[in-house]
Amino acid sequence: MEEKKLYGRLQTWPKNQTIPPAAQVLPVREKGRCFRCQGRSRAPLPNGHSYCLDCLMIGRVSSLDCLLTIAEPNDFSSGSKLRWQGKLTREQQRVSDQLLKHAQAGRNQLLWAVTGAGKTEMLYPLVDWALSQRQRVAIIAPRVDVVLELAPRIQAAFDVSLQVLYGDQEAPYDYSQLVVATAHQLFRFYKAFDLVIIDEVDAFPFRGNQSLQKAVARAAKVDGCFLYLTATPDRLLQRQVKAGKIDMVNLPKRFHGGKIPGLTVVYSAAWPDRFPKKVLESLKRWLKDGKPFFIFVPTVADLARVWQQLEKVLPTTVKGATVHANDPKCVDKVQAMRAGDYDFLLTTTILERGVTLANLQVLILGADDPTFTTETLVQMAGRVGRDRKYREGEVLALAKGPSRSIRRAEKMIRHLNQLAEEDEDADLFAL
Amino acid sequence: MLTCLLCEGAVPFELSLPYLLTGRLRLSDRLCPDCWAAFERVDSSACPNCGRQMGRTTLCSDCRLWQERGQGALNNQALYQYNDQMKDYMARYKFIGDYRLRMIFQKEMKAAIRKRMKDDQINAIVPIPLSQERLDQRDFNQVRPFLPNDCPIINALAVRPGKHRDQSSRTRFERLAAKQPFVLKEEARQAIAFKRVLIVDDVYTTGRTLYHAANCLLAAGASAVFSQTLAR
Repeated sequence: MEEKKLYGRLQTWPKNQTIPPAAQVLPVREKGRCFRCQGRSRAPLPNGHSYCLDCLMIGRVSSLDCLLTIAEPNDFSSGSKLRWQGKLTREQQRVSDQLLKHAQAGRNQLLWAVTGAGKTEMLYPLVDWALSQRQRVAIIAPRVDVVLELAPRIQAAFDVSLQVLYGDQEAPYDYSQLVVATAHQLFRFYKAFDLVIIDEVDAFPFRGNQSLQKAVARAAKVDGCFLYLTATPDRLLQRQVKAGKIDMVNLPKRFHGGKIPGLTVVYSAAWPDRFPKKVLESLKRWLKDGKPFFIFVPTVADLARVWQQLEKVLPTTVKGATVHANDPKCVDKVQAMRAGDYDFLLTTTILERGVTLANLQVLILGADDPTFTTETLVQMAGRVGRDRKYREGEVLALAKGPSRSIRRAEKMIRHLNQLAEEDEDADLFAL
Repeated sequence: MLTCLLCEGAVPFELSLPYLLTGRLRLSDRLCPDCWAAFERVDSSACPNCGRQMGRTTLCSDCRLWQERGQGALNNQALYQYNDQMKDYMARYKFIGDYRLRMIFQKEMKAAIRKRMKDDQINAIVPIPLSQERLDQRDFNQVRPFLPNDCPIINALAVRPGKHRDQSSRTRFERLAAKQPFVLKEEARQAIAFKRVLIVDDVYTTGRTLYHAANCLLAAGASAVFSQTLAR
């Protein structure tokens, strides 16, 4: 194996094979935990050996193996590598400058930008600075589709070696200065990156996943910098900002300057047995006005039940479909909805992020259910009013009773809109 | 909560008396109902020589070709069809090396082998071996857990040392053209002579591997060779 491919990597290696002389050998387990994923659970093999169960999906690490690494030498050329020649808006430029300033000071930071604010482009000056300093940079996204969408854009923007990494990949790994990868790929790195950019830190799979968070921390160098991107920072991040551990940069305004609609909460004991009158009236009004809508439910099991109820109460001419995470036609259905083939989609939280439909309305059923966290609720509300032409819309939340996440979501939306307003005032003064 | 060994989804779990008494999970609790349902059994209407599911019980076209080439009967029986779910199972069990997955079909395979020992009057069982490199990597032979403990297992075959390409990375044509990969272990020659032998493997794909093994054993003096696989 080429030595280059071991730079900053954690490579599983059978103990009985010759070990490359330059490589550093690390144990597979340390203090009862898997060295790679920090998991504790393992399963036995027939001859007294064992393997880790927690990171099995990215390849088996057993006590027959060891882990190899070579300290990251940053074997790159210096100088700017930016090919991108687009222009940032004034607002984007302000954010971009701040990000660069914090990174140059070696600070970890959080970019709190509402979705659709043009986040990727704002990162370019920062990434270019890091690359020109011969730093190794990782850009991490939560899902494969996001990685695949992001990678060509970034490759086009920079004249640099770029490696895309995700689960079911055919192409072999190669050493590169820039890495665009899904979260789990970080298990395979060891003190490799000077700058790690993590998109949607509050989303699956990062949310509440300790082992992944540790893997991320270990994939960066000891003095490496982090940049978290999110539209809805969770309380832990907010607390870290308050404590001064990380710097925050705000971009509260949507690109068209509109606001995020607040939640209209309907409390009713009728859910989950039937729809309250108020909700039904709204549904019928949306249908009459020809507005498409999403209905969010907490779990996959709810889909069939709610579907039956809807069939009873809605006229038969109405067309809709159900969507969930393991639905192979998920993407097609959203496409069909965009084309106007469906009036509504009944969905789990899978569509909470990354979907933009003009003039969309949202109904959240069981908003007080524990699967709907504050961040989820804000994201779902954020689906509404994203189009330049239709900046307004309704977000109905049906709940049995009040809940902490509903209250916090309402607060967060108010806070964001207030920040956006202050921004506008500042703009007026600037003019 | 229990998670499915294949899809990591939730498995609905009910307390049962045996579980309360022994703390052992039932087999059905290891996979979620969807994953169980995705495996398709081979029923009685299969090719009598290779076990392919066909809806009729005459010789399939593949087996006719084998016989035209002068191959004797193999009498392979398979428990399951080699569908996508079975492919996924094999990928996890063999290629990732998740040894826990042996449990899923262990009981059924053992029962099937016992039954065939009785039906076909088998007096020796030969598992298909792995190459030494592969065994070192994986640390287990995927067929071994499927064999009943109380029957005459003879590790009569060994893989010829040298470079071997993964069967699964070859095309069908390449696989069919593959040369004899097995050699008989000298110490097993006596144990095989005049025996009715059952070869056990995980998957029958083209039949090439099993026919090679069968030829090797017949040349060593086995009086008849049969075969049993998990999937076809």
